[in-house]
Amino acid sequence: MEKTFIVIPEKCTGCRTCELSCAYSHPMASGQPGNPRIHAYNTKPPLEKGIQIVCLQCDTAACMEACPAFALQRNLETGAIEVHLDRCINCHACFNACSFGNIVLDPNNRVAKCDLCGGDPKCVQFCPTGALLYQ
Amino acid sequence: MIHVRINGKLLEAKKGETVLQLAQRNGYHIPNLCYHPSLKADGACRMCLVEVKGANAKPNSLTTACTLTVKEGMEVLLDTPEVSKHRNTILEMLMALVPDSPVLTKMAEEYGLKEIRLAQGDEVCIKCGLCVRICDEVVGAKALAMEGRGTETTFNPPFNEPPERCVACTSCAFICPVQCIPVKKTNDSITIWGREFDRLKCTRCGRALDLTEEHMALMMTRSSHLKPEDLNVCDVCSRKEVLGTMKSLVDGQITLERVGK
Repeated sequence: MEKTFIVIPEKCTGCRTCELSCAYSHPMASGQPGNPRIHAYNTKPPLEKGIQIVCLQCDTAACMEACPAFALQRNLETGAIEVHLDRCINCHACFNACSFGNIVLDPNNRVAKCDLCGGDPKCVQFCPTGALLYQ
Repeated sequence: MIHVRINGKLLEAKKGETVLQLAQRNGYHIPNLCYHPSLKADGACRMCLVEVKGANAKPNSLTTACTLTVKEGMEVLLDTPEVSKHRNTILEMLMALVPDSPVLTKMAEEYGLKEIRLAQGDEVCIKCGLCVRICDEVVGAKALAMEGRGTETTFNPPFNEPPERCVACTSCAFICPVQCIPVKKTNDSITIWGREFDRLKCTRCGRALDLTEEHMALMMTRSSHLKPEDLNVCDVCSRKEVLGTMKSLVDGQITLERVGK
């Protein structure tokens, strides 16, 4: 856990490339792209910027505490909380528990959340303005 | 480390691991219907039969991989003619009980089971008991119970009445290997096991949540950090709230102050 995911809203243009790269790098079991786990919103003028919302990987995570099956576990290498879909019983407790709306449902109704792509976030690589950093 | 051979290949197993877990971790496929990683193995469906040699096993001993704990010097064979013969007999009995299950039909195709020699039943449930165990051990609602014996076993709420303790988390329906538990979701309600539950509405936008009053109460028993005012808000409204805070930060209306520094 040496690196931190950094969001710089001042540099964000709201182009949503991060959403696209996230959806395509986390396909569902059927091979279709999943729903993005990062969200970029356009803010209205006069402040024409974007704001990105992504999982905070909370220290005391509501999603982890709500899960009865221990399907959400922290990856000690990256510090990310990961969903283990083999243990998941699809009760959507984590989805309801997250106060920041950072647990998403894929089109097949399974839960998904930011896992920092195992230590190499794709959204950071694709962000054209450098509004996302992982360092 | 414990050393176990699967199909002749030497593998390193962790202490207390079952043969099924070891095989799955190393990319071997063992068919199963009632195994779930978040539950203790039960050996109910008998589909994960394997042949064991060594480590004091009897000759030609067949046993379920999900309940078999690894031992030093154990030798496991996954696909011998003996295993295949007995597994197909079990599958044949399951298919006689539940004739119209796509999951079983696919398995029969995979393992070359052609005809069912037994009288066909009209059940939909394969009697594995996963629904009862998940409700009991994982969800903690304890709304379901097992009743009767043998092929007459039923998995239902007590007295077959609409279950009082059910919270409509619908995990039982999700986990059922043959998908035989009907769930009806409308915009206002969730109906399962003959009981209709009202879906909670988001306190901000009024959108129906995937949550009931009972499920929320059960979730709050798991942790004191979960509060109804947080659980009652949909994901879109939660993100909007974060967005509002971030906007004020960017605008300079509020500033971040480090606590304790």
